[in-house]
Amino acid sequence: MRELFGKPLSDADLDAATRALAAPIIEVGLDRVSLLLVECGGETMAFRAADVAMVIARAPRHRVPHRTNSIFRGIANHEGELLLCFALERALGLDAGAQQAGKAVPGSAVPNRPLVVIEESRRRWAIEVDRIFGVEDLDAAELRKPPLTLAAAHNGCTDALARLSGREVIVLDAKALGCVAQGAIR
Amino acid sequence: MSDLSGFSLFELFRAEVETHCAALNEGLIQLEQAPTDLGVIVPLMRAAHSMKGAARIVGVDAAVSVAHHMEDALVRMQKGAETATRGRIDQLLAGTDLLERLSRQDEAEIAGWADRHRAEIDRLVVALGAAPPASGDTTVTAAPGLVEVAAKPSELLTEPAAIPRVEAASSGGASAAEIPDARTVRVNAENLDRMMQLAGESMVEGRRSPALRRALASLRSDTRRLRSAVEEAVRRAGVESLREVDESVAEVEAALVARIAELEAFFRRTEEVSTALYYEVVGSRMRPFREGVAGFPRMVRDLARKLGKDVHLDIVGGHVPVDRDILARLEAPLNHIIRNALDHGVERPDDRRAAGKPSQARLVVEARHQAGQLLVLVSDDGRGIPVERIRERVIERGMQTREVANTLGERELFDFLFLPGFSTASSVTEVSGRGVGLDVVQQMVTSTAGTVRLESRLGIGTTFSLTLPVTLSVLRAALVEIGGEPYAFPLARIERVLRLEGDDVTTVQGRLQCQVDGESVGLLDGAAVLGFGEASRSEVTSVVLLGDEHGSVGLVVNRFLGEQDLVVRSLDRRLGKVPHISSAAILDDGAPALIVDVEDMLATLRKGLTEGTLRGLGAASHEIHLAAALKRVLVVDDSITVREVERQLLTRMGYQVAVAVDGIDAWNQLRAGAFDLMVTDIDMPRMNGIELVKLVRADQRFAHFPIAVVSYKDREEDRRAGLDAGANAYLTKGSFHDQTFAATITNLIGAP
Repeated sequence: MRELFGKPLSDADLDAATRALAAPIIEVGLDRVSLLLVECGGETMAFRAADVAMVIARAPRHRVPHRTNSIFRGIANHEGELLLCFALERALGLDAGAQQAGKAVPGSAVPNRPLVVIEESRRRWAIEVDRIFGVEDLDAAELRKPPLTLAAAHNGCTDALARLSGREVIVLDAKALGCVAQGAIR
Repeated sequence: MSDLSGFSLFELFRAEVETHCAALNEGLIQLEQAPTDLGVIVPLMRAAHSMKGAARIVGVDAAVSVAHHMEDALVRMQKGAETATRGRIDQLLAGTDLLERLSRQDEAEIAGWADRHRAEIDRLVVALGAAPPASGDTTVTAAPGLVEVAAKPSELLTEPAAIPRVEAASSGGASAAEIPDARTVRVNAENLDRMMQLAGESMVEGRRSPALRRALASLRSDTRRLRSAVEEAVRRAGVESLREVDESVAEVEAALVARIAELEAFFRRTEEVSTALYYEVVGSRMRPFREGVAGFPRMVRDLARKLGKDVHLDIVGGHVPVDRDILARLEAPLNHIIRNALDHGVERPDDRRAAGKPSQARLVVEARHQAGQLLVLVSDDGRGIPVERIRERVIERGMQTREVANTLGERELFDFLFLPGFSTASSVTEVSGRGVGLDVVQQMVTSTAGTVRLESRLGIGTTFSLTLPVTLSVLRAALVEIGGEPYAFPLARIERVLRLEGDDVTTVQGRLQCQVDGESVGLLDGAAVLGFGEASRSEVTSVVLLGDEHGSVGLVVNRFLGEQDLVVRSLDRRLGKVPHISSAAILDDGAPALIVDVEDMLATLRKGLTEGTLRGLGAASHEIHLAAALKRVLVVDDSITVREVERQLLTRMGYQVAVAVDGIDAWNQLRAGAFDLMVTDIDMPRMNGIELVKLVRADQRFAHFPIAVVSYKDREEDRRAGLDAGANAYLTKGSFHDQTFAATITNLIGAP
């Protein structure tokens, strides 16, 4: 049994698991909120699960000539849909993540990190992160307004603060993130 | 960034007015419904303000005055000095209509138009400055609207592309009986595209089975060899146990053969079904040819009458299905060909009778499918094209020497007609003869990998034959790797691929070249052209040869990956027009590939090589792309007109220029790319110029970054606010007209 659980997941299983993980979670009741926790640039952050369309463990990428920059990484194919991919740490202005973003996997010109696909105003943006932890529920009342210093940082993409498992986690504003992504490809 | 260099400033002004008027129309109606919602007013003020600025740049004083008074009225509302009464909304809407009508005039006519409408403009300006009328009763007369403009035949003639679009159901001759079942259902275009993608994927998947079939056949051969080996061993050794092994192998082989036969049948069926599905979905993109030519009968009638000619237009093959994208692209070229035929091709009735022809000329537009392609013919029975006049024109314009021109055949001479600016017309008319038109036909046809042919017999008539692909959805392409990623070159658009040995590449003046059919072809680095810097290249082995009538270049790639049928996918619209790239595709292994826009790439390469911003692949790698060394300027302004003026000024000075539409856009771009200077406006949505300058200065990385503010605001306190925020220079937009702007930029960052 120990060996069974220790066995690495196949790509298909990992894909299925991440898909299940990212399936939109209906927030149960008005007083609860579900957050998808991720790690990026050495920081733990969260997306509201309601903003997340799907999570993709890995998807083949391609840079776009004269468009790809430090924020816009290129396009990725997921089941025939070509998604626009963005480096979260760069979109938030976290230089710490820059090294990670620039690290390509062998045989690929673009790092193949997990993608969190957010949807706002019927537009999808695939956001590259370093690691996906999972979904946690908490009382909506536990979400706190970020201090001015934080709200002004991260390109205005910080929506709230939450304390999860003893860690302070910033909750990202999908709409603001979409604006930053849009600005990066113009 | 979209390239706006092909547009005149007035065209940009017109586009800007159109956008802002749409916003004003929507916003004013919203304001009328909720007069206390002051949040609606700010974007309206901005729209009026932007139009005022844009009108000032193109020198349309009437528009400056109207927009200025509209802005003032909106400012008073926003400050609570007056209320948004229905009467005031009427006036603002009337102002919006007036600005729209004004912007739609021909640039040369605009002053005259304003003079003719002076009374209306003055009345409106006075009304906007007065207290708001309480009700909808206003002294401003209603705008006459577009109908009057479009109804004037003389103005109809100045709009080459203004063919009225008519629904198939109302196009008169549209007979449902021509099509087996003409019932239609409306399908969301997005859904249709998605179905196309999936059906295309299904077909690509279905075609992957040959590889698996080959693997299975190989396995079967291996099994057969194994059985022979066992049989041989049994024969030599005669061991009984081996005989049992032999029988087992035989059973495995028989089972394998049976399964292979089943799989073969399955693959065949799957491929048939997926291909049939694909073609059905492709078929759903098809529209009858008549839908694309519905406006021509009216146009031919009006133009023929105007020119004193009698012409009957026949449309043949109206039911022929044509890909909707092809159909949309056909409109402009057919328009030009028909106008040319009416103006220069067909004779007046007297001349026709004198030539022994019926007084009524015949013009035929025909579509049919031929050998898997769409053939569109436009024929007239007019006077034909005088070949000798083309020859003389070629000599007159110095395009060929008389000796060479005299050796040119009819077809070669006709090719000159497709060159930009070439015309044999002795005078410019409203209808054609401006030397534009046939090059548009050529451009459209080549952009779809088609061909155009011209045949003409003096006194008999002229026929244009356009051969186009039936669909733009599937493409046969050569796949190559550039910078570690796959790119596809449409096979129809490349001259050939070359595999070079070391001796094939020579160096001339530090530039690498190779020989192709006895001609020297310069080499360019693919990765550098695509903006990814130069790949380290110890040797040149794989080259894609690109060319057109102006010459060829060799694009050095990492390696060839083979040929493949690709299902063409549009790139995400949010990316805008990506230089050198037309679309995308997904390869057999699921990896995205980008499809190269060869025409665009060739045009850019030619421009870059001519202007010196691009050089051929050199022995020293750093010489490849000089453009990277040019100084880069970020222009930030919410007005497209101002942005374009600044972009053109700076480009002319030799700088590389990027643009941003507001402070947030600029801040993102600044952090994403390396710039040497930022030129920013003050009044912008989302984040204004002062906020932007403060934000940039607050970041240590940009502490010494040069910033120039360029604004309409010319008061001392505005200037002080800009400089206090951290700008290095503060200019007014009047500086465009003298040397102040150029001098300030050079002072801040030096020469390009």
